[in-house]
Amino acid sequence: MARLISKNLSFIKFLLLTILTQPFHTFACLPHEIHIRAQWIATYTKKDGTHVSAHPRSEHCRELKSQNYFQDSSPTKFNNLETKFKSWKKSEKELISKDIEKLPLWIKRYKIANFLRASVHEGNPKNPALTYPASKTIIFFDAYFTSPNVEYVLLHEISHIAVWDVDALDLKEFLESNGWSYKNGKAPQPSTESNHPGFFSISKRGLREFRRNLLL
Amino acid sequence: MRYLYLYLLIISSCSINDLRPNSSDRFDKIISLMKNKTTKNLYQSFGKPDEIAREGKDQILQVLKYKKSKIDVYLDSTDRNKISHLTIFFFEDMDNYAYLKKRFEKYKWLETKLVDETKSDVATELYLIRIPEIGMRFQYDNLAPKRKVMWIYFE
Repeated sequence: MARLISKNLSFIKFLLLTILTQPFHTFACLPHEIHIRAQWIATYTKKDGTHVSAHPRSEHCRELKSQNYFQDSSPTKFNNLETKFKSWKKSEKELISKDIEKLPLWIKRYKIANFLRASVHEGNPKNPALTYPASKTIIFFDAYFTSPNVEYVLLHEISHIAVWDVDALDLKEFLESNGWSYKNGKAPQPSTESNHPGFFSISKRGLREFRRNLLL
Repeated sequence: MRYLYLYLLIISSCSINDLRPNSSDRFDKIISLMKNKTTKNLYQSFGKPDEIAREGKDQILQVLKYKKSKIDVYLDSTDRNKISHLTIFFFEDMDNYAYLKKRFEKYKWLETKLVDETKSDVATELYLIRIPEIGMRFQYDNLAPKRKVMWIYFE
């Protein structure tokens, strides 16, 4: 046994080093995947008649079934959104596809599950687009197509998805340098008007940091 | 070849996310520190800060920053040997909410849905969590990937 260990010492060292340096609970998903929370799966029967007993499903990453897919409707019920989806025009799809191609590589690699189309964002009629980061869905409104800077809007929306993959320390430093901090005795709210990445707007510096953090 | 199989087996088993509380998450140290809130205990637990910053009106608030731990310690403005409050930036690659709920299951967990009247360009569903017993609170977005939390506040 001692001989075996001695013979493979360098490999064992490498193995131990790899295990010891594994971050705890790391569960990074790739830009073409979405994160699925742990959940309890109730008993169900497959289409082929196979009975599946109830079981827990661990948290995992799932590859997107569709990527940058233009949908005319959606069976999904979106939180805080009362709107009716409508069909895409060919010219609109072409415009967005063209804008995607113009995006820098570091953000173009983020794939969007669905692009949906609606007339107006109720309660915010000037809003050109609405993003659901967890499901990687972007809804485009009429205002998007009259926006003077559609490329920026697209970049901004996809950044709402990419921001969650930025290195924690870099993100913290970036947010702090943009005025996010705690005030003594106050509830955990940043001091600026922005109070969540949901309201996060990307500056040129932000873009530089994102590029660096996303390794492109 | 068999070592390669062994290696792959061990690595894959290490990546299973079981949400077990982890001693390296620093919460035990923070909770212990915030019981007496002294800088002496802070230095014993976390060592010297990487940076000392000033914040607030007239830059009166002194903040000891521990970069690697992502911990910011705010000192009492009248007694610099005392800690006023502390934040930790929690942004891990896993379901943050599920981890924290499990991590602090022995404490009373108070959850309030926050009313978000702004119709932003990104969908959010914000909640405020409070654990009064240890003076902990944080906000999370139920629609964010992995429900990543960012700042957790201890007072």
